[in-house]
Amino acid sequence: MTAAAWATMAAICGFVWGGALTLVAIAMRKEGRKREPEPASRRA
Amino acid sequence: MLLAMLSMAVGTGNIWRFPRIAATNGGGSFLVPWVIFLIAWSVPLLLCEFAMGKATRRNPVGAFAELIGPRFAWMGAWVALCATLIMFYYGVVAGWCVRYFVAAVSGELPGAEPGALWESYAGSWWAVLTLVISLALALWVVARGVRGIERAVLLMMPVLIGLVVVLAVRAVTLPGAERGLAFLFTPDLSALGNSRVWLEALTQNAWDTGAGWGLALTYATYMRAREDTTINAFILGFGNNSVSLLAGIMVLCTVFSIRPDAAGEIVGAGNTGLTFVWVPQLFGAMPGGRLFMAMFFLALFFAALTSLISMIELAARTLIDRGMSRGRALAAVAILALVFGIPSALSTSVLDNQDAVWGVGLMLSGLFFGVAVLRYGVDRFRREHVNSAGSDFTIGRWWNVAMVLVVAEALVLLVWWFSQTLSAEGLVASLDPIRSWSLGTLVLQWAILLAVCLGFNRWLGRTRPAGARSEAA
Repeated sequence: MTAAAWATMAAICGFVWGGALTLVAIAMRKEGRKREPEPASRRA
Repeated sequence: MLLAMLSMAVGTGNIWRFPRIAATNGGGSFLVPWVIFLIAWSVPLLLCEFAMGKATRRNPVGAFAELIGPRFAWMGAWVALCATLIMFYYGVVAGWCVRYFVAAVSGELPGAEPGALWESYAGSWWAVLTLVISLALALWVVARGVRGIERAVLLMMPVLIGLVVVLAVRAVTLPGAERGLAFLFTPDLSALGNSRVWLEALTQNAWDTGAGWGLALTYATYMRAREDTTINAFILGFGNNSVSLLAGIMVLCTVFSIRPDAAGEIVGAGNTGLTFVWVPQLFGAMPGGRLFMAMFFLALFFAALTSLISMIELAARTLIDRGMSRGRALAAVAILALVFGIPSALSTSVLDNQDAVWGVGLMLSGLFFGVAVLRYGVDRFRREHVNSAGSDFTIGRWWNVAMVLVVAEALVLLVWWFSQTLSAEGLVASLDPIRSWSLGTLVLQWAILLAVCLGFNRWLGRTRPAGARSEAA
């Protein structure tokens, strides 16, 4: 494989897979925060 | 919910279609525009579809009529009918998965000669039989709302994605696999001057993510009003393209490893069954390959089935909203799917033709979504519907630019491809009404569909569903 092919592979796979994993992590964190019960002091 | 949406969009488009399209369009040269269109086409359109579905709570015909007026109902009809015409041959591909699952269980696969099963099966009456089986099962699920199937799909989807990851890893560790990677990732910048590569990249991206199909719009009509769609639109786009990329690596590395002498010819020939011919060979090189192969084709069938169910639901929903009973609408869809699916089952050339015509037709669907938003007021649409109550993330003004770009991309690509094809092939050859990817076949079939949509426009605009605006809680 040429250097250009390695660079293209790193850029495309990094962007697509990295993007997907980051987005899933963000969505899961958001969902987790929604499910967290509110602190008792705030509920009062 | 995310898993359910991914089930709708992850289908044979990622695993059957992507490796073939990437291979026939030069691998690395294709991937550059394909990634560009993920951001410049699919994600903005998915955001648009979700917002339109949640705002109008109607099928594509009703959604276009409500958003920009009944005169434009024909645009929604195009979107719905284009997805329905794809459904006609999609059932055939789902049927192939049934046949390959049976072959994996019975031990017919991988076989001594790659492609022997494909040669004897594709285009035969057996393909019609498996089409009937897949259509019957999908219609049964839609008609009865079988919860067990839904649960099975939610289980099978992670299995499919997991198997694709394992297979891709196995494929890159095969001897000589780096030639497949080199083919897939070496960019040939001169190929970027070919309009067909850009057109196929856009079409494949629409196939991968479901952008412009009207499926996300239909899905959104069932969403709760406060359900967030912004992050889901992004995940749908990136998640689907991730699976496609893995499938491309899996198939191309296998071909280049097993047939290094003829790999260039094999992948360049654009065999419709590229994935079906070569994936069994990959399983043959793995311990426990037969069991995993059966699981793979079963999971692939479930993925195809969920996409097929969404398409049937879209077609039936459109008829129901025109006043037809659910039973009659499903019967009409079943008859049409069978009548128009049989030619594609009996001839892979017909299937290729339909795939080209309606695949590019998705570009017009995307164009119509863009035109609708521009006519409504792109910034107003973003503020009122995309950034609606319940959105976890605020979409900025970049989306306004992206929607203008969607319209521009479709128009520029069409004009570029038409002029390049006419100058390369000449007027007479390019007007061939039969050949796949000829201007003639494309223009003829698009003209018929446009005539139908425009001919019924007044009726489509007039008979809007009464009391269908049922806001979800």
